[in-house]
Amino acid sequence: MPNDMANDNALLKAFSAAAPFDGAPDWFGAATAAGAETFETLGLPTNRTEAWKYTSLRGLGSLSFAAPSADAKAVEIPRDSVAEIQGIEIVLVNGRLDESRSALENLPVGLAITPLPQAIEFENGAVKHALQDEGAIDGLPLAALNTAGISGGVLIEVAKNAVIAKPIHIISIGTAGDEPVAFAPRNVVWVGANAQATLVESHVGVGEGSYFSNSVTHVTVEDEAVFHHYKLQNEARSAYHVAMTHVTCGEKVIYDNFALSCGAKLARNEIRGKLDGSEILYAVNGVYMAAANQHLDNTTFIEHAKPNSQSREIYKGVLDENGRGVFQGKILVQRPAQKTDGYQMNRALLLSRKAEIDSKPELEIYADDVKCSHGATVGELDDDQLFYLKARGISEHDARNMLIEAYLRDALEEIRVDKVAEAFGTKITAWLAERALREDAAS
Amino acid sequence: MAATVETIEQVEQLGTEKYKYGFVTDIESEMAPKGLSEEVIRFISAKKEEPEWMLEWRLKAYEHFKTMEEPDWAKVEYTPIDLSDIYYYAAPKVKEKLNSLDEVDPELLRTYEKLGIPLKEQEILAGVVAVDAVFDSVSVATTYRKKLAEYGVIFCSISEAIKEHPELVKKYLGSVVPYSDNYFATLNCAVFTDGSFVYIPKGVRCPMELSTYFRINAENTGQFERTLIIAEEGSYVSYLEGCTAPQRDENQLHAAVVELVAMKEAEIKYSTVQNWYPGDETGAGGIYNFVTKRGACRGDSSKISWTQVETGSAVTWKYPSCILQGDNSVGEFYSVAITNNAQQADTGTKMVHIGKNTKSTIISKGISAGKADNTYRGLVKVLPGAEGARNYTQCDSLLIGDQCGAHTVPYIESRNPSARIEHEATTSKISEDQLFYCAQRGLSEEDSVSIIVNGFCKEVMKELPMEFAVEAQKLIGISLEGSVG
Repeated sequence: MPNDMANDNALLKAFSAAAPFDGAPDWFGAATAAGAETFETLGLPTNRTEAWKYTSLRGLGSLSFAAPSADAKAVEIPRDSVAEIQGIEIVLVNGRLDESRSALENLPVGLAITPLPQAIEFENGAVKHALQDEGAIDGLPLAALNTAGISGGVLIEVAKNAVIAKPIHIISIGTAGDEPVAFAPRNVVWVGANAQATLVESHVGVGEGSYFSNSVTHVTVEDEAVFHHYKLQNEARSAYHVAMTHVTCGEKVIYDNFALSCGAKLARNEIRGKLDGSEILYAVNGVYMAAANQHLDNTTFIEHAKPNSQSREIYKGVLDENGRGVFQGKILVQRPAQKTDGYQMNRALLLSRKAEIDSKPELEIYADDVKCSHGATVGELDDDQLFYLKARGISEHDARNMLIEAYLRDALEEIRVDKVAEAFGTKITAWLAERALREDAAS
Repeated sequence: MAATVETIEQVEQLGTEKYKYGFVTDIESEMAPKGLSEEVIRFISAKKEEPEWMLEWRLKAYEHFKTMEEPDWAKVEYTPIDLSDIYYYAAPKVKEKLNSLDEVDPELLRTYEKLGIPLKEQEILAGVVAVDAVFDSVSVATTYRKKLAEYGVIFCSISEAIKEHPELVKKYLGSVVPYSDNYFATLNCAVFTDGSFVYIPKGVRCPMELSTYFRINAENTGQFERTLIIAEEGSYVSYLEGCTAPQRDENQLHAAVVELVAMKEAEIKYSTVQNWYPGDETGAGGIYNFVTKRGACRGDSSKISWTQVETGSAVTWKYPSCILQGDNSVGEFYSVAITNNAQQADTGTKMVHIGKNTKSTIISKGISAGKADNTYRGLVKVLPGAEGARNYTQCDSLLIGDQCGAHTVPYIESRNPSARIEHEATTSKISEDQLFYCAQRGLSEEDSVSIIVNGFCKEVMKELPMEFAVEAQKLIGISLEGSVG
């Protein structure tokens, strides 16, 4: 126990040292302190904590992380790893905004991108709310750790009624090196009423070795706005990636999220959505592909607080070699949220005898007039489909690969922006090609 | 130096001896002192004339129990139980005799009537007359026992079994639910007072449904019941537990343990109807039902099937499970859990697939009304060796009224690529259309709800043995009384 505590403290120090917010207002200092206090109380989660039952961060505590140095900005953007979309780029290196390579000016009308330190200095309402919100860190040790030592980030504001056609693209780069760095990006997104925008996040790494990215993103979507939010987690294979996304939706909002996870040694992508309005269409979908020594966790929480909203969730995973997948999804329907329609599904395919999937779809329902269902399947490819292909002269090996690809690509249908679906599709193809090479090498 | 050691030894000896003999004098008394202590456990064991190994096992459990904490992960809230305020051993109480049914609580009689219990049986249940006054219990029991003996079936109380079949009990007791298993099971190991023991020899198909109702020598098994059922190769047994009639009990905490062992090609069917006192509308005074039930499919092609209808108790915490060790073994769980008023139920199952081609089916129907909370919590786990394992899970929840809650918490863990697991869960309410349809045909709202809910539970109800099925259907209606309108 005392050992764990020491590790927690070391981690806290590594993050706090990075905080580049000299001269920030008092409330910011108080928020940071609250984050540190919450983290100290909760500690790094192990599988004794129900919310982290299948993903223990114990291993993380024994590693020593350094605060990233400021000269890391010289790194090249690894174009092969990021999602290929021609977007409005915002580049973060080890959690800090690289202003020279980020589009902060000459933006489309209605879009404003502000470095986080500036937004704090200007006392931006959305940022202030996000950082001071106790609910955003309560019982959430890693979000609290982020608050305790924010490395940097941006505020993205989409004005009321604005329609931003070009996707906004946040590229977060971690630099892997001999001495692993730890960083905590914090991004705040505010989408005004009746506005429309798309945000894509690419989380990637350069170099060999490890690093720890612990990000928190706040998304507030005001009434009747449409917001597409997609994420590619393609971190370096030895990296740790923990991400928390807090989403709040107003009346008649359309919010759709898709997360493609294939990088990192250990990754947890957690999305907590509060449906604080009626007639919301809320979707969280994703694909996860794990190979050797990878542990990919997708955790979602959907709270229906008002009547007549709909939530949809489909996650699909493939687990190869000794890869491990974790899916935890919870739908909470509060008493006033009558006529809620909730659907949740996790499908997983184990491709190896050493792979593992742990799935926990959960419903907590307090309103009687609701339609909620969830499902989970784990299993092999359909024998009939395999037979069909083989009967047409396709080898078993090729037939299996075709079916796996079809199974994964099917999930991309949920992405509403074609360009992004294409870009993510190439990542799936690349992953399968890599797998085919492994198989060839083995045979 | 040596002298000091000697003194210490002497003092220690004194201590233990005093302990041992100081208690013997009390053994004639009918009641152990209140509270949980090693002395009480020794007292229970002595009272039951148990062999030394049994006492040792109890004490081992007690030692372990002292290191444990009460679990709090279930989605139930209740006033904690003061374990020091419980009598762990008391001789059966002599019930106050009533002269006729007129003296019985009319509310209780009304329930009996709805259940369709014959008048004679009503008298027994209400405590007006003893069982043997109606049936010639001795002859029934003897006939029963004689017939079973012909087949070599052993059906007796566990205390009897400990004395008469120690080799069997020693071999199997705690082999499915070890003494260190969980807080309430460990407590049960230390202080269990009685329960049933069933042994079906190789190749025997038990000729009748075994029911606790006819178990002879059944004393007041009390709150810590212990059941052990062993089905040898190729045998079959169907066991019925509980009673559809409301059971009142002065013991608030019920921490039973049930262990089932099915050897090669054996099948055990275990059915429960639980209707203990749920407390008043606020749940006050209701039973806490914290039960550990687990079956091991030890042999190839063995099968264990759990069917439960849970309508009583203020708080239920129960997960009948199957450990599917043998290849091609089968586990089943059929459950109906009804909670009304302030009742809380957190129930489900665990299916652990170890052997090849093991199969499990889970059908759970939760009905929540009033201010009740009903949770399904289940685990399906496939280990790497469980080639071709298959699971199908269906959990449906029905909400009646807008003050209740229905929750589903399944855990699915798979480590074998050839395993197939499917989980489905839905939540719904009784539709206006269904009620309207029934009303049109002249049914009262209460009857309509009963019919609709019975339809909702049909898949589980059809698994119940005939003896239970009819009464259980009525019970569903009664449990939901006052939940609509």
